[in-house]
Amino acid sequence: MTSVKPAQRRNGQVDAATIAAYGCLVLGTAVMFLPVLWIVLSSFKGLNEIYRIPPTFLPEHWITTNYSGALERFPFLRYLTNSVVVTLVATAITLAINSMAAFALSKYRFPGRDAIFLVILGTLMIPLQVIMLPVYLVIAKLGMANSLWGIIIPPSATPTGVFLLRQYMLTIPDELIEAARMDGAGEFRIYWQVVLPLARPALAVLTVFSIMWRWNDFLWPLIVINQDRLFTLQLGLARFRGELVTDWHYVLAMTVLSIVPITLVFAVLQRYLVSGIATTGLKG
Amino acid sequence: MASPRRPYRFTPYFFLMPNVAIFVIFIIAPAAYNFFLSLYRTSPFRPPVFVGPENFLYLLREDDLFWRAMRNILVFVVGDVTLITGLSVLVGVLLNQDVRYRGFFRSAFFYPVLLSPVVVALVWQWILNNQFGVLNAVLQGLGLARQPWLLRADWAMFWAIFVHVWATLGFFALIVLAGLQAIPAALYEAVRIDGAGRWGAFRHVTLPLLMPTLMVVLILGLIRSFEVFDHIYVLTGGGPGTATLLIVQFIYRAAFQLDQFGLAAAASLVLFVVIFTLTVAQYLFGRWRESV
Repeated sequence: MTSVKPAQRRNGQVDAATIAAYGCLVLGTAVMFLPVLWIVLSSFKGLNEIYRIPPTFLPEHWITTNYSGALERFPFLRYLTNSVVVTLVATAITLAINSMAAFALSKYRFPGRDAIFLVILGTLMIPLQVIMLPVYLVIAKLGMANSLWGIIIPPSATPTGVFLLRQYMLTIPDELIEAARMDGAGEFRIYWQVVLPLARPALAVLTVFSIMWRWNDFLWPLIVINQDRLFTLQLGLARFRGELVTDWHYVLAMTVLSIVPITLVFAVLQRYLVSGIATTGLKG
Repeated sequence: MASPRRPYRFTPYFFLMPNVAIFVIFIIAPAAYNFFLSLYRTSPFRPPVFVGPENFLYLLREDDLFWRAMRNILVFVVGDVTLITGLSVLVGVLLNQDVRYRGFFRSAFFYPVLLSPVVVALVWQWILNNQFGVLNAVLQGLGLARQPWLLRADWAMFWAIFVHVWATLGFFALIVLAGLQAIPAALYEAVRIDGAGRWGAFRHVTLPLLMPTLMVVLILGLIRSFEVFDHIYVLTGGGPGTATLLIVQFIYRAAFQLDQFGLAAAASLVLFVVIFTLTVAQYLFGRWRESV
């Protein structure tokens, strides 16, 4: 009995603090989650219901005409296709060229290696916001203005990606590479069949981030693209900003549709995202 | 790497080439170009004229909008970073508690980080809408006055900060959470034996050991705050008037809406100096931390 008592008292204390913790967590979750839930619910309401005061929380009648109407009236599928193309192609390019650079920087010794690595890291200090005008002028000179390539190529060489992969590849033992070389493997084969498979965890982190960066990207597409048929989803959605919007029922439906893919990606790949942020402070 | 054969003298350069080429063409060369642009007066109709520091002098002495943007960004950064630093500690500590459904709570706080800035802005525009927004409906239901949230300068700035904090808090809370998890449990055990309560443990163990992480949060938060554009551009468009026009939007406007290339380049350099300084501070802090 005597040994149980203190434990009980401690449990009692924990309960008071735990209730406070739960209170804060529930309140915080409400603030973080309700806004999104609210637009999801609103997107299933009829036009006169979403403009009603006082508003209803759950839809009176669940309708899907906002979705079908939005798909009919706006080139949503075209925006979606553009976004998917940009996201997939850009992520593939990013993975390929960043891992090649990381391989060179971590597994070879050559003149200028450290200088090149420093310069690559140094470009972290030059975000797009600082050079958007000259980059656009370069793009325009190369004939990539108003093309999806113009969105895809310039941000595909990411300093964070090179850094992340290089750090990871440094932990791959050189003996493995030496052994492969003894067996007569060429350098590209070593990269492709020895190093890349072993670097899979780091590649997974970069993949998730690249998908998120590209899917959500706004400023750079906004600069590069000014033709409706090349709009990405984000550009298409941003057309509806402002107080004067009257088609809110369509806007809500399209907004909800646009967050479905990224939510699915998150559900499947959450741990890579979390570990990426926690260990490297990668931009979310 | 010592090896019997050396057919790969140029191999590393081959592997580096695509990445480095893109860096040079799309980052390094434009950065240099930006520097030259800032020294020229440009116009869509005439060739550029070298004017030296004229663009900078004009920005600093005569351009009211530039100063407006500078004032706005300072208010925004101070509010944004203060809230993010404070709240990320609170949320980080909460998410580190041994509570039920912890995974769910972590996901909930992190979820807004996934949303694109455009979506975030639209979600809040819908909530804050003057006529049909749910927030005003709730206020009205409580018998309070409706507010023109995004149509009045002070409220617009408040919501600009709030929405950006809402969208990025999960990211910073996660960094804090990682910092908290790195604190050895034995230390808590030690202060508990010394008779410290929860608050004592927080003050004497958590806070001091979390300081390096907080520094990271602070500097990253500052950098991202100065660079902000998307959320606010879609939420308020810089308005009402120019009440929430921030520095990146100033550059965007000068470069792509008014064709004032020289001015845009000069303003970019001002922003670059700020970000450069912060990045160097971050680097030096990291070095110092490693050496301690």
